[in-house]
Amino acid sequence: MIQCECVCGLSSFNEWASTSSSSSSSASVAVIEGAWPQEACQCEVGGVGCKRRGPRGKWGNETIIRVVGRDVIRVKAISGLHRRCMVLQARLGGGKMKDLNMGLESRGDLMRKLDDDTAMHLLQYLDTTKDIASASSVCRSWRSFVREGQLWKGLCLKEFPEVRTFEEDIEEDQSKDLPPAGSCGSSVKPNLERKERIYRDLFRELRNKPMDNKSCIREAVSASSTDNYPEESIVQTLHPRPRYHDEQTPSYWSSTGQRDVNHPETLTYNLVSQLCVVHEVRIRPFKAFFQFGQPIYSAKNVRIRLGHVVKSAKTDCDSGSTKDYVWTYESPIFNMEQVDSMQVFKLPRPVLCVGGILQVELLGRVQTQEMDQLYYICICHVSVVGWPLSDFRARLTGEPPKFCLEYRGRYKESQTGVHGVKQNLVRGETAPEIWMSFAISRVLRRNRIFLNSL
Amino acid sequence: MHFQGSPNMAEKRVKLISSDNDEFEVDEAVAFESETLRNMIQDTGTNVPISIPNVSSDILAKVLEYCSYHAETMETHDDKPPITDAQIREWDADFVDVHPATLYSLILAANYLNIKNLLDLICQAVANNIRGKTAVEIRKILHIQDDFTYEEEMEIRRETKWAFD
Repeated sequence: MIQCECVCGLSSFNEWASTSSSSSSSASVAVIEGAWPQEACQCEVGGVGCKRRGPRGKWGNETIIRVVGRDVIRVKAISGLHRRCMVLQARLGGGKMKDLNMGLESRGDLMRKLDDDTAMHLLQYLDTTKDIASASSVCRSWRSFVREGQLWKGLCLKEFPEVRTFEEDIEEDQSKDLPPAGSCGSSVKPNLERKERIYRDLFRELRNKPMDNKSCIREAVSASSTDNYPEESIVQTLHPRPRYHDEQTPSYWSSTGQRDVNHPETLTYNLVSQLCVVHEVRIRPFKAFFQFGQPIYSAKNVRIRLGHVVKSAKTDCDSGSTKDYVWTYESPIFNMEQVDSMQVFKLPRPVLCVGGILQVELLGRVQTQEMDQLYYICICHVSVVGWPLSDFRARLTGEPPKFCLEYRGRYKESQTGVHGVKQNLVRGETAPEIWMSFAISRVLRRNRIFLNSL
Repeated sequence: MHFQGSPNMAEKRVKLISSDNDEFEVDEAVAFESETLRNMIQDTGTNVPISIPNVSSDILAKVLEYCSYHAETMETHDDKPPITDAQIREWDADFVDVHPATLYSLILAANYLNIKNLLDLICQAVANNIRGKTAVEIRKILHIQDDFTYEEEMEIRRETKWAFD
């Protein structure tokens, strides 16, 4: 039997892990097991003053060596790293074995030994919400690394490259209840803590699940062409059904007729919020139930563009042109089928629309009208599945204009307030209107308090 | 006449001494992978052995293994096909497939010796190690002391609770 001594803390190259055999039998075989380093190992076996070299080279999980009598087995890794945890077992013949645990040497706080740049460098490789959240709750220094490395911003940029559009970010001052009308209403506090809060909460909002039963479209802006105004205007595409309640009046948008099968059309919409995460667009082509054969005037292909207005040029319904818009995102081209159903065009990834303009490009025509043999595209309904950001606003400032991300304050402890704002947005109110109603309710409450005190 | 090459062209050897007083001898090109060694060699030349007091032999051996492989990938041989990027990536992946404790020692060495590619490689490997781990687990893996006050801990929990939903 081999009696093993526990040998720990092999701290330098020249130290050995040793175990002595106190076997009474004259000669035997010891099996040394260990979680060996991948490097070469060397072993010495022998009694006092008598050493034999054991096998040298790469060891497997078990290495067999010959031992004689009260031999001492000493093992070392030649080029290896004995600071690692090694479990060494020495076993003689079929006898009992005892573990030799060489524990992992305590090496203190690794990050403290590294300079800050390296530590941050390491954390830059963390790229999921959970990992970043965990890293910032490890210790104070890690928390500041997450902050200084702007990991949350990095995550926003990685998953939503459109965040790059923002060249500035500001947070509205907590001390003021309401921003003064007409001004920016924000104090710029250029510190990392603020940036961390903004982008952490931005990412929190960006990853929200889309609203399942409401469209993110607030209003129709313009169509590239309209056959009959207003019966066939783009506004009709906001009504979900092909007919109104009287079951007679149809509801659809129709392009003008074209000879060219490739002549494109566009439908442009305003989204409920300037900042919306768009997941998918649903389009239902129109089946002309009142025509012979009930043709479906679908398009061949669809492409979705997201962007913002360049200048606040007033665009009338059905007369706008694309030159007033800047597109920050363009989807791949989807195929549209010539069937009367809500067709889903899911974007390859959720996209943040900065500026609140969504355009549906209808590329290629498939259906002619019997009467004039011209190609038309008719759309019954368009809806956008997404999530409007309620705590953030995008503002164009400066010359040349650049986008500024405005954060309306910390995420509230209770979610009810935030939710209320969201509901309002969904109902189609603009953000200033919400602020106004908020202001009015405050004034009313203050007056009530005043009256009560009388 | 057979041209042997001028003495200047011959590979210079550099002697390095680890913290355990083991001596390593490598080609100059291998040592040049390290920015720190490059500066030292340029200052003192190759005749004097360079001592690296804060890197132990085992770690230095590993670092030099990396340097010599990557110095080799830079060389072009007419008779051998060049080493592909995929092969290098595979070699690198094998290289960092070691116990975490080794990785941490390597980080410190790579940092001191200023070998950017190695540092990148190991940082990525360490990040992979802590990926998906909770804060408590990370502390345990890296032997980090939790130094938050109760209030701070509560604040952080409030700030990041959503991330775990």
